Amino acid sequence: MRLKIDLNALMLLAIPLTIYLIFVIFPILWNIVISFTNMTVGGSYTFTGLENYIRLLNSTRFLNALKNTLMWFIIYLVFPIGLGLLMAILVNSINRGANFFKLVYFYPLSLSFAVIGIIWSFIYEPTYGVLNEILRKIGLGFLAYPWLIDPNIALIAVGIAASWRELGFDFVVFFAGLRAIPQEYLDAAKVDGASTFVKYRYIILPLLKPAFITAFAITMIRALKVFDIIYVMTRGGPGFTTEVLGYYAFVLAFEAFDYGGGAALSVILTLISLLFIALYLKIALKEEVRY
Amino acid sequence: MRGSLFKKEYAALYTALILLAIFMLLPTVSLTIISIKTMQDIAFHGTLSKPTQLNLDSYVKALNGLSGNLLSSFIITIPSVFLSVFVGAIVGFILSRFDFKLRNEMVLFFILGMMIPQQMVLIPLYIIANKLGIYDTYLALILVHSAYGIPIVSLLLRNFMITIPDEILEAAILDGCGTIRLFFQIVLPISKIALTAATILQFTYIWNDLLWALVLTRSINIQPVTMAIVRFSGQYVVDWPTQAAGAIIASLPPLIVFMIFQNYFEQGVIGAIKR
Repeated sequence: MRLKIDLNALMLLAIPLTIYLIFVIFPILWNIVISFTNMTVGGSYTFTGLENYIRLLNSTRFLNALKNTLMWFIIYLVFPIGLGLLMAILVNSINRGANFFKLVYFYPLSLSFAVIGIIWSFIYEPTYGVLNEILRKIGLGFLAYPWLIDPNIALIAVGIAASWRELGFDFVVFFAGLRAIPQEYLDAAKVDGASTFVKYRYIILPLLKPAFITAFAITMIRALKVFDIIYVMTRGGPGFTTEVLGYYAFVLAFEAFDYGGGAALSVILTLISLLFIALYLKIALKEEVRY
Repeated sequence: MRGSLFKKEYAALYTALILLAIFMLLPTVSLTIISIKTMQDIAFHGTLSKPTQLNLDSYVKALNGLSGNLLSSFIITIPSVFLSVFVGAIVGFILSRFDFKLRNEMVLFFILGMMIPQQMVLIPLYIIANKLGIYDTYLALILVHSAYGIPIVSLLLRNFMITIPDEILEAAILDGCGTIRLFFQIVLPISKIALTAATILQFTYIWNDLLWALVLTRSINIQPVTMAIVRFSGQYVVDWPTQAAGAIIASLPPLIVFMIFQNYFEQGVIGAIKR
């Protein structure tokens, strides 16, 4: 049943809509305008057309940040998505202890990246760090390594630290997706004598497609937004090897005070995220995701 | 047990589950161990060894250094949670129960608000906060957190309110309930579960925020505890136990809320993104 909109309904809606328009929609539009200007601290500016975009696309620092973000996509595909799916399948296969494992797999989602950055700095620290200590204890001391200091490893190391939290999200989405699969499908597979592998490959995974696309799209958007953990753990270093787009946008705006450039970069970030938003909407609006 | 598994498979299954559980627990267990040791102990005997003596001095130092910021976090978080859940619930009610032009477009409009990267609005909001004279105040953070909570809360509530049986609303309307009474006296009480889920989710999101505080505040004394522990870690670089104790203290409120309301949290995470 749908009610007819009346004056009272409009009055109710006016409060949230006003807040939303002032603090969300208007800033988004204004940011697009700023991206076409040379605005800096102080506020005076002139319109410079596409100059900020051209400058960014020709700068090696931007391309480096883009490359690091693409790498972050891969890290998030393997850990939050891959490992989250595996965890969901494992927990869904048991009864005893299921609640315990569920809790253990997704509690980091309630912690802040500020805390997670601090925790994982203790893990990666070369001298007293937890990871190196464990490697030495189990006789793999030769693998002990200055994880956050090596320019080739730092990005993956920080990515794994972020993944440790983010996989809780994908775990929850996949777990709900698995729980929504009717028991009859699984029983039918059992009667037919299907092996576990066959059951997953041909029955469960295809049914999990909407959950998978939802998790994929939102996880990639989360990868684009990455900022906190970089700020806490590496500030983009060593060099610029952990500088991702979401972090570089902040640096441009609030450390270089290049508002025009920072705005242009965030518009590019948003355009990329729109691709994933569109993918999510395609599933959410058409296929009726039910969890 | 779901599905049938051979004994060997069963053992492999639990081995994998336990290994993954160790991966998920080790970081926080390490943090806890570090927090109750002394730095000398860590330097001489290793980070994960049994503490030679219990050091709670780290917690005293951390509490002294962070108590003001803990209070700031509560001052920012509590009103933001209630405001965003309240106004988000209004939007959820209108989107789920009313017929009007552009309703679907409006749902889309809020989904976009939920998904677009925060980076897209940092500069304008920094300027707006300055123009309104609320830069570096609790009010700026409360308003921004409330506004950015609207999309997720309204979608979560919409998805719940759409399932309220028509008969309940019809009966109330026959009794002479107007729109406003319908919302406050019928719809809100029925939506208690979804409101709780939204509250839990918003509490952890807002408590854990770092970026808004970084952009909208400057004074150390009003900054939330997330920012304070980052500064704190810089101050106590060579004092791991104090850093660790600070991180633990800053995590306890959202962690406790999560532990108590785990199911609501889970429902909240899923409830906002399904349709």
